[in-house]
Amino acid sequence: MSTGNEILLTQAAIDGELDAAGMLDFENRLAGNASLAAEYGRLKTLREVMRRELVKPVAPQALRERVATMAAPSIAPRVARVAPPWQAMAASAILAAGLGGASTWVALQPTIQGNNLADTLIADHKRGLLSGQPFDVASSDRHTVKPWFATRFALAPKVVDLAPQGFPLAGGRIDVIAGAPAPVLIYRHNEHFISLTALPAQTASAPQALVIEGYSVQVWRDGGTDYWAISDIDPVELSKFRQLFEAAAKAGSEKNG
Amino acid sequence: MPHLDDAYALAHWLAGNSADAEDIVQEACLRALRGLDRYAGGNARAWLLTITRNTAFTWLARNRPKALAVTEDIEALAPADGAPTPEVALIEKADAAAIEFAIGALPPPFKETLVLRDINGLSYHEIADIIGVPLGTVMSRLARARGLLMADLGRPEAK
Repeated sequence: MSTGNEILLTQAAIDGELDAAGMLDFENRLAGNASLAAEYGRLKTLREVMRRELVKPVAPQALRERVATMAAPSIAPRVARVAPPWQAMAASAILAAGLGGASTWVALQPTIQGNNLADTLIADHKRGLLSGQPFDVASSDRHTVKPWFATRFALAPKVVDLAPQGFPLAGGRIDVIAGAPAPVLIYRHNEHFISLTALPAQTASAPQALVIEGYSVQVWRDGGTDYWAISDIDPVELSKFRQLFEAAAKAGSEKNG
Repeated sequence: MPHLDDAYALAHWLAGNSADAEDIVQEACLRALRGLDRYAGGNARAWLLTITRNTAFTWLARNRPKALAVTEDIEALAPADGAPTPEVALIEKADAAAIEFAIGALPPPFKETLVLRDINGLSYHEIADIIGVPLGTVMSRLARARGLLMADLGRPEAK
């Protein structure tokens, strides 16, 4: 019977992961060990059979198109502002056609950065809703959501339960804001969602309340963290949410000492 | 989107059907686009596969929790004593349906390792990076995955 190590070595030989010296050593072992040779034969057969029988699934055309449309709007409108439309079309076409490997990715980066923060957060909020899955972790229990964030961020955001006040917790997700991952809490209010993003406090004091493209935005600071609440609910309601959240967060920190 | 086929192939094998795979890949691409500025250059395929892999497991945990149920400590799972040695001739005769069924039956950690290696054709190092486990774990999971496949396909009484 071959030992565990020999089996791993056999795998590595089959997978082409051994260097020349390792391969030579392996072939010597193979010659003097019948059971190892049998295992080698079986593995080779398995690999050949898999290659012969299995077809690598290919992404359906419909999915390809959906992904292309998803990619296009995130760059096209911004390019269009400063460039003739044909350039925007060319940019979308590059994505849609899937030309170029890493170079396509790199070329896209500048267009994503340099946004107004509120615009970015609103875009993320909208995208979360459009995808049909506004959260990565779905839970109304803050004892589930908080640890989920705690494993992903050095400083987890405050997670409070506002269900009795009409703002139940729906879940959490991670967005990328200005190149860094940021925790986002999702609260529900009637049939609407509120995205609450926690960001390290900016030096300049942020505006307190905004309405952009019909979205209400509330910003407040708690210690070293800026909280950005985005929703399509009425600004008055969002302001109420903010007060409730601040009060609950304050009560929570006092309780925890 | 470059490498979409790779992402789709991985999602297809992990989910076990094309409808779920499409949902997973779409969500993964959305995350990839959203996280473009976190992409620091280098291996774009491994980067997209990492996102796809993580999205797949989050998605499956949320929508198909049964698919991920693992009751035993799989790393300690040992081959059954006295199991007959798999026969090369039987493995050789296996058809696509039998292989797909056998792969589908693998516990998720073994399945993803095998798929990344044998379907996506990644190196041990790339797989270790994507899954976030040491190289040795990749090797032992691959060995266990193939061991289970051979036992399944080469079982003498199977025919």
